[in-house]
Formats: sequence, C-alpha cells, structure tokens
Amino acid sequence: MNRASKLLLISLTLLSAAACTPVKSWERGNLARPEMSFTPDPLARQIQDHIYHSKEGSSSVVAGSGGGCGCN
Amino acid sequence: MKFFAALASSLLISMSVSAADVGTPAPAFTVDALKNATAAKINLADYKGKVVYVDFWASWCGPCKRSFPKLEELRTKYKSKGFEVIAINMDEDLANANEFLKKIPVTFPVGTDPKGTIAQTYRVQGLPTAYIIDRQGAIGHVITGFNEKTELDTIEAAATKLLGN
Amino acid sequence: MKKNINAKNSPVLLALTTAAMILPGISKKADANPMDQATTFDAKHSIYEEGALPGLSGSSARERYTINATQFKFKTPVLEDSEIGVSGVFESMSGASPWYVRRTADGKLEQVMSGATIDEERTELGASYRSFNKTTNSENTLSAGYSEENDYRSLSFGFSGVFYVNQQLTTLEYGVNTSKDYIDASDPNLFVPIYPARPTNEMKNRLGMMLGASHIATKNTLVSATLSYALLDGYLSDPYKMVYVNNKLVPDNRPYWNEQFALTLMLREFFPSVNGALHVDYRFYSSTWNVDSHTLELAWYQNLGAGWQIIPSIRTYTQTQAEFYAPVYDTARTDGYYSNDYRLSDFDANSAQLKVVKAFERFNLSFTYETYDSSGDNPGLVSYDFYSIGTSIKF
Repeated sequence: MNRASKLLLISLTLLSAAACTPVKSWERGNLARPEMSFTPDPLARQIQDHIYHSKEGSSSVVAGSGGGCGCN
Repeated sequence: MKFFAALASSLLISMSVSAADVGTPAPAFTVDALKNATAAKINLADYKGKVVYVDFWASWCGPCKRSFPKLEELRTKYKSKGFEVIAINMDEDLANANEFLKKIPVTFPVGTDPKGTIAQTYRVQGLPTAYIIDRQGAIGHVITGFNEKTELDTIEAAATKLLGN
Repeated sequence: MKKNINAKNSPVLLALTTAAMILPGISKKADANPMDQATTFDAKHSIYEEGALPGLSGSSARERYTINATQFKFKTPVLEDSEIGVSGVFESMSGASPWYVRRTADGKLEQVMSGATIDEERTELGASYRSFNKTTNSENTLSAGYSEENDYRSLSFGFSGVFYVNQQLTTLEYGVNTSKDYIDASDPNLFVPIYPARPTNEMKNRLGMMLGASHIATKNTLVSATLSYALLDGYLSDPYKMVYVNNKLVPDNRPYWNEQFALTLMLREFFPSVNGALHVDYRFYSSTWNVDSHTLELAWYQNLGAGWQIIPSIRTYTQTQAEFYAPVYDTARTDGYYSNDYRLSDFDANSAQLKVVKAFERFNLSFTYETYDSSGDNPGLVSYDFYSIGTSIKF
C-alpha cells in the first residue's frame, strides 16, 4: 500500500507539472494517432486480460461489464 | 488533498477560455497559400464585403474529413451570393495536408498556419473550429466540431442570414 | 485588389446580422474536439494452447488445454451525440483441468489432472450506450453484459463517465460496475460418496469502482493514473478442485469475502524522428487475501510505411501467495480455508508478443503471436502459446 501511495503521488506530481506547458488543440496531431491511444485494440485487450485473469491471481479490478470465468 | 486541488485548478483554467467572441471584429490575418489561391498569400482583408467561412482544420482530425465535401457543396451553392470558404490548415507537416487535399479535393482557398499564430489570435479550442465572418468583417457565428446531421443546417442558416437572402 | 465585391451594406442586413448574433446558443462557448462519430465493426479469432505440464500425472492421458475464441464488436452513432455498441465472445474450451496437488514418495509435488476431458462453451454478450454532452463537455456510458457456460452464468452492469477539462488537456474518469454470478458445478455427484458433492446453486456478487485521470503532458506524451477497487462476496472457491489436508482430500475452500485494490499507471510517448510509439503500463494490485502483484507491460509501435505496423511487446508479472494457500497441507487450519490453486501461489510469469498490422483505406488486418511462461513452486503453473487474427472496419 505504501508503495502504491508513493506511485500515486509521483504520477500526480507529473500530471500537475505537465500542466504548466499546455499543448494547443492544433498541436495534437501525433496524439490523435491510433497507436497513441491507451487501448489501440480493445478486442485484443479484452481477450488477453480474460486469459491473464483466468491464469493469475489478480483478477481484473477495473473490469466493466462482462464476466464469466472460463477458468480450469 | 493534492488531487482535489489539482482538479479544482484544472476546472478553473478550463472555465476561463473560449474562442474569439461573436460580434467582435474578426482578427486580421495573412497566411501562406497552400491551394486554390490566386496569390502566394491569403489575406482576410481582401474578402471584405463577402461572408467568409474561416475553417481551422488538420489532416488528422476525423470531423474535418467529413466537413470538406459539405463545405465544398455549400460554397458552390452560395458563391455567387458572396460566400467564400477559407480553410486554414494546422498540420506541422505540410505533406500530410497535401495528401489530405489529394484525397478530398476542394476548390476553395486553403492556407497554412503551421505554428498556430492565427489560431492563437482566434483562440481556437479544438479542431475543426470555424468562424463565419459577416460582410462588415465581424464574427457572426462560431462553429465547433462538425456534425453533418445538426451543424450543417445551422451553418447554412447562419450563412444565408449573413448573406442577407 | 478587388474589394467590397457584392457588398450590401443595407440596414436590413445589419439588423439580421445583429439578430443572428443575439440568438440563443449562437455565442456559446467553443468546446474542444467533440466525439468523432463513426460506425465500426471489429472481429477477432484467437487460439490459446497450453503447454505440457512438467510435474504431471494422473489418470488422464494428458491432453493440452485449448481455447478457441471468436469476438466481435459493433458500434454506431444514434441521435446526434450518442452511440450504441454491441459485442460478443464465443469460446470453446477443451482439455483436462488441474484437480489436486499431491506429494510423491520422493517428496516432489505433482499436479493431478481431472480424468475427464472437459468440453465446454461460453457465450458472452454485451451492449453499451455512450452519450456526449456538449454543454458540460462530458461523456457517459451505460453497459450491460451476460455470460453463460454450462456451469457458470454471470450478469453485469456498469456506468462510467468522463469529464474533459483544462482545455481538454485532462480527462477525469469514474465508474461503478456490479455483477452477479451463479455457479452450478457439473456432475455434482460424480465422486459421491468418496468425496463430498460439488457445490451447486452458489452465488457470487461483485461491486467495483474506479477513479482515473489522464493528461496530455506534451504534444507527444500522454499519461494516466487509475485507482480501482472491487469487493467480492459469496462463493469464491473452485468447485472442481480438491486439496490434500493431513493426507485426506477435501474440497477447495476459500473465504467468502475478498477486497481488491489496484493502481494502474500508463504512459504513451510518440517519437516523431523514428515514427514509433512507446507504451508503458504498470499495475500494482493488492487484495485482502494477501495476493499482491506487479505487472509491467512494454510495447513498441513501429510504423513502417504503406500501412504496415509492427508491435513487439513484453510483459512481466509477479505475485505473492494467498495467506491460506499451500500446495499440500500437513496440518489442518483453524479457519478451514484450503486451496492449492496455482493462481493463488507465489509465482512469476513472463511473456513476449509480436503483432503485425496492415492498414488499408477503410479497414485493417492484424496477426498476433504470444508466448507465456510462469514459474513457481506449484506444479500446475501454465505456459501457453496464443495466436490471433483480427480486423477492424470503419464505415
């Protein structure tokens, strides 16, 4: 937990530091590229998370809807 | 709570900005021409007396792709009444803009503002953003985004109103 | 220069212009990049093949466990600022499954597999509705899902939202989701009276929530942090697994309550000079069963021109064991919790993946290969190969 809160602090600091140099809306061409999305291939993410979670101890805490186990 | 402080300040910043105001004179500009212009530069002042649709766009912007054929149609329809479209490209790499124009050809003048100087004076918040400038050179209407189902009618209504038909 | 062409400086026009300017909604604030509406269809077929287990024995001739999964997702705009989506997953699984762990005469641990080959299918269907609100610059999504296999059914609902703030440099996300699962083990009386009947009519409830923020740090950098929490209660054991306690086999039995916490950090960095992007995903996970884990994923997206893209990636995972876990129990526990499930053991896993994507004008094709290996003290830990072919079509 302690490590987690440290990481959270670091990430928030990064976020707020970055806010000092705002990127203009027309400078977001690179960010609009498909490979810059957080989840470029949602179906791949879905099936791979499903497999990881059925073979590892950390089930998806973030999972929206959709479930089932398929675990054996 | 640092998080909430950061959140609150973000909200404050977001409230203090908006695009150039309706009713104020449209900021003057001269941009390098990219396509369909009669000279090397496009100067807004040369279009005084016309209703001008100034469109800020980029090749990577999805709605911009859909807006171009519609703008072309609109321009063809109202050109004789004094309607003009000036599209200002925001791509840093002009090759991307040229590729876009090859795929979606238009006949209205296209200029380029790769450093965003003009976009800055117009306080553009997102792409596409368009300003309909009336015959007196004042901003008559601001269009953000492009939705062919709803916005196109609004644009046409605003343009015809400004054209005085 | 020609000036004032077609100028009509009439008082009527002036009046009209003024009227247009004061019309409600016309002078509204400029919103940044609203939702880009498009109709898309994605489909993927994947094959998962487990490797042979090293410490294997038991009645079954070892059959490799395989899964064939077909997925699809369709979304299309409805109304002016909203879209609906439907998705599905069809899976068929076959092979033997781990039954219990035993200690051999020479003191080694060995995984015993269930005798029968399992052959089953799972169907999952989902639907979602997403709407964009221009005035508040926010988005909301409602989703529902249903999954069914012969011994397991799950019903789930989710609500999530996004706020675009700070000139759209920052997005704030939140969400809640809940699911109810029904567990009905197949062949409940297969080993009665030697072993107790397998559980039927069991239930499991899940309530999850998350809070996240993502931010445009530079024109080539995106960062995000997400905190999530889930609470599970009900039947959380494995209905088919048995455990050796004092040289006697008893059913797998886990606490009826588990709280899970996760922090996910993501970085996306574009490198214009090489036309490629780096993805870094890190996740810390902790649960009240004392399973703590760290996951690190690194991926490189290299654009090669002519629509080709090649994506190598690696993933490394490490977890601690559940408080009550043991491969074999020599003494009984006072709380009565027993599990020898490799998923609750102390282990590390590594995987490497290669994906190739070819983009065309309106669709793309992708091929993926992944190899996964895990190591720890549990003899049931898996290694597998994963193959996938997919397409994404934009209408």
